[in-house]
Amino acid sequence: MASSVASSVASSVASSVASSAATAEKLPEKSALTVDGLEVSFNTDDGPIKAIDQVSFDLTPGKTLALVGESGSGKSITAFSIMRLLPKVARVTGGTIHFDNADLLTVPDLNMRHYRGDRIGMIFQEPMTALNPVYRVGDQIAEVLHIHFGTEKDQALTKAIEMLERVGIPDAPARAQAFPHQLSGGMRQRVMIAMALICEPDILIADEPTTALDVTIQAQILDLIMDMQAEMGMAILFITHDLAVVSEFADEVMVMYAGRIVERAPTKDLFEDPKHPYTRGLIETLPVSGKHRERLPTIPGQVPPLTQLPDGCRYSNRCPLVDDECRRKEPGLLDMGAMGAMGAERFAACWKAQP
Amino acid sequence: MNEQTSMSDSPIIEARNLSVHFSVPGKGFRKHERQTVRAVHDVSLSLKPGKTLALVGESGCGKTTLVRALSLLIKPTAGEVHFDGTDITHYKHRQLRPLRRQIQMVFQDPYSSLNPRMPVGSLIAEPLVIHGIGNRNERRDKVAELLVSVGLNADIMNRYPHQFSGGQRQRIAIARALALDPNLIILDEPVSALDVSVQSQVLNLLQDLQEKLGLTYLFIGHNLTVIRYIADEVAVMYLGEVVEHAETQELFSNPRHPYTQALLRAAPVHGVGKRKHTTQLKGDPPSPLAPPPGCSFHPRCPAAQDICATKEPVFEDVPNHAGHRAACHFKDQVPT
Repeated sequence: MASSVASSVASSVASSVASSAATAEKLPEKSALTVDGLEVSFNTDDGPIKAIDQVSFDLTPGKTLALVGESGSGKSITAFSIMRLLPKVARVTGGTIHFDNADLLTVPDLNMRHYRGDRIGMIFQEPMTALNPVYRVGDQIAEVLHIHFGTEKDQALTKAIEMLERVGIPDAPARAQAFPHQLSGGMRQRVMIAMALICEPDILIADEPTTALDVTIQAQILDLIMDMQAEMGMAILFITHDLAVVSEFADEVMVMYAGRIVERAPTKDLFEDPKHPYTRGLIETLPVSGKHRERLPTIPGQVPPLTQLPDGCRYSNRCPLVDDECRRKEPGLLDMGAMGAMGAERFAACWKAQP
Repeated sequence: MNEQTSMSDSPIIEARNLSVHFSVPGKGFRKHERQTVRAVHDVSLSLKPGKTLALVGESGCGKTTLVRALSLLIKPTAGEVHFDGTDITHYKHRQLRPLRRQIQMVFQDPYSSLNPRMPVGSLIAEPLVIHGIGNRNERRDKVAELLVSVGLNADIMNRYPHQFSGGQRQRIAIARALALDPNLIILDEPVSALDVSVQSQVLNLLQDLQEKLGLTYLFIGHNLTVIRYIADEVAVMYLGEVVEHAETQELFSNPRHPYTQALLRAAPVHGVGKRKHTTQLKGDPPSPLAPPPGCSFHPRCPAAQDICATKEPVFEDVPNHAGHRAACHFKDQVPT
């Protein structure tokens, strides 16, 4: 039953994609996205500060890449750069974002609409603020189809209801008539996912999609996102600060610190053998079952404001391994070689890291 | 175990069959037909001095209402609250005032729990002012002492909350909670809003203070790894009721209520590899306006039988496990 609905939506959306964008002949073939040397600056009263520095990664169809970091590390700014939704005070000062033979940073605003919401979908942390409170959720989802494919209103609504069914909303025709405030947090997040996925995007950016939810609902939503990925084959950029979620959900992990990626590795390798002292610190400070009330290791100090980064390595003022070399020169992402079960390459921005 | 914790085992605060029901107006044209929300229903709990009891449950399950009723910020509909062995359920406001000093709270979000227009010194001294303790100089000394005890510098008194990071603000909130030398501190998700790297700093601080001052903690939370780490006992709430209560190790290794089992399975654990399909619980918790008949968990329970829909299970000891109580008809069956 579910699969027949799925395929009918897929085929109908596929035909409209082919007619409008004339790119993908067959839906399952998704495009990859490559971010290279991205730099974003904020204009502040004290002059420009670099919120993101030399961020490079790629998103592969069918794979999940997690972006982990503390608040202010630049995770969301990275996501907003891809969507071209940066706040006005922010400016991209370098780098490229390649997607489908285009550089998303240079395409005109009008053309950007073909990508945003259609080819690249996004789920936000707080669905209550991301949904429009005065429109019925069914209409909000249908609007996406109407805007991108010119689908007739009532036909779009039918598809929206089908999509609500696919994301596991019971009694979808009735729920489509509801306003966001009439739904629970988990339901609202399902509506957001339905909206982000109704165009079957190549890329899904999920910005802390489960942070505001309870554990049992979080488990439901994570399972749903994984199911949808298996069905549609899109690449996922999963932004979070929760390492436990990452370890169960991602194929690869990038750790961000004060605007830079300090480590990138396949998930299993990262948790088993973290190379960067910051990653190691983060994993060690987590309370682990079985160590009841033993003193937890801590990372001394706090993330420095971007205006007061230390000389050399930006982690040098909190790092247990620091020496003169670290204070002199900032390390780039150094190749740690391919290793581990998956054989994917891993990188760490640390002079002291051993391959 | 240190001296304070072994001093006495009689509970510092105790709820006996505590219920809090709210009467709310109906919807739309039926707003004159009032409905009853069963926010907390027939809860019995006790907090032992020097220990940490954790209260776990999803949002809307009644954790906050229970805490407010326990500290008599709201009047319970039924049941009793005992403080240090005395029934204080029907105490008047004036009688409660000296008791309020004994119970303090630390809230989840240190960005909204501290008045942005008050300097740190005044924020921490405010409880002292309200209770008329000490003169200006004595209060200043006390504030300095409190700041040092939570690991901050005494000279930050004239600075404002926005000048501090989340972790530092939470330390300030803890210093304020300690100002009146309380016995019991209610910690409402005290580390959920903090970054991972400072969470462990605050958890260490809370433990140090408990050991040094013999504090009792009521820890509200949803992060099960944190709770397993810090709590001595855990009570699991669902739809206004405590459905399981046991010592931490026992609860985590031998959960008997299907809801607890589902919670434990749903919680992500780092380092176990890619997630398998673990969702056992379908749907959302039902509305406390219309709790289901029988066991309130039965519509979502993967192991529900006919009896669950008709007969409410009794919250009682699990056979052969003293101190482990659960409200399930099948609690004596070892989970598979």
